Amino acid sequence: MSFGRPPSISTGFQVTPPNRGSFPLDHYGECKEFMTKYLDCLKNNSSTSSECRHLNKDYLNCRMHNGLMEKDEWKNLGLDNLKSDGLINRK
Amino acid sequence: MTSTHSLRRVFVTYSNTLVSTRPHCQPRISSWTYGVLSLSRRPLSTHMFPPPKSPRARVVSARDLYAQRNRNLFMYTSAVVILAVGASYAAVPLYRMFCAATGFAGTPVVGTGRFEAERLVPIEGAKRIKVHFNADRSEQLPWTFTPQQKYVTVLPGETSLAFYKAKNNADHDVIGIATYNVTPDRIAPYFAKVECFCFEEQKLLAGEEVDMPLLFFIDKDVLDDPACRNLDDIVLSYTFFKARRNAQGQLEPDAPDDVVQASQGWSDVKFKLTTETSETTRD
Repeated sequence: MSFGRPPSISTGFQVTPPNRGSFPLDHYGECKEFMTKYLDCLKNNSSTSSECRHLNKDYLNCRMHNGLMEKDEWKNLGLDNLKSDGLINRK
Repeated sequence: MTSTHSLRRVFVTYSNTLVSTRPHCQPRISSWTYGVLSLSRRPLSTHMFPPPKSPRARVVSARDLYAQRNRNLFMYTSAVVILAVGASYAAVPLYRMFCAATGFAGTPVVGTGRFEAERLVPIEGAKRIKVHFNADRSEQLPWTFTPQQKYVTVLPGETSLAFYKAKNNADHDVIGIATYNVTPDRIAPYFAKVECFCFEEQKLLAGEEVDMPLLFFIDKDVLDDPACRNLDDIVLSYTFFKARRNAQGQLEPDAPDDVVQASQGWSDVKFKLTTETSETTRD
């Protein structure tokens, strides 16, 4: 099916659940520092997402390692072609 | 003697077979009889059947012929019946495939078609779209629910994270359910969420504060849509409701139906889809 159709009752005006469902709640704050790093990067780059995408990868990596997210390849999440730090342990 | 006897026997057998299967007609007359009758110059009946062409070459009696025809008819009929039964069994999955392919009658198009890896590549050089974040909650929900960033500017096709924060201010565990809505409406078919925290119950323990992430992207086909050409700002709004159990035992938002519909962006639409609920029990 194509995406480029004008919204109609069957496409645009219905609220659909997300593709992978819901993130489990991070009750113990295991990935909180990755989140604060990402939010600081956003503040410094006037909220442009492209510069901070490597921190996205780090945050999702943390979630995967702590069992808070299903493990998946980066290309299925759109995060595989990034220039990244190389500092933090990643898949 | 033997010759006449054999001739007579053949004649008798022949005429017996014919008479038994065609009771309503005049009996067929063999060529032997025809010859005899014509020789004797007796008046012939007007309903005389022409003699068979070669009665000795292929003795297919009428009984066998009808048996053969009946068998053919039976085969054809049973084939049609089996075909009809098979088609009625095959219709259900075929119709489902047709609906999934064409989206007929509002079938949602789910599956990896929208979220393929090839679609999740940012389009460099395209105009950036600013996504504003809004958070609302129902009055019965004793939580504080706020976005952690005011907006994010993204490229089409680029997945990015956003965070919301929720704090349970009550002294007991509370289950919440979130709905979301994207404004303006014309961006809605292109706004895709990979993973978020909506539509499923989120249980917060008493006094707990938690960060809720959201992974989303704007599909690259928005660049081809003329209606979205000068669209720079969109607003993503989440509304949290307290959850209650309905008659089927499932969690649903604990608010009047028009409030829930308004949180999903249906407040301006005159005729909207609503479900009539029977008596619900409170959790």
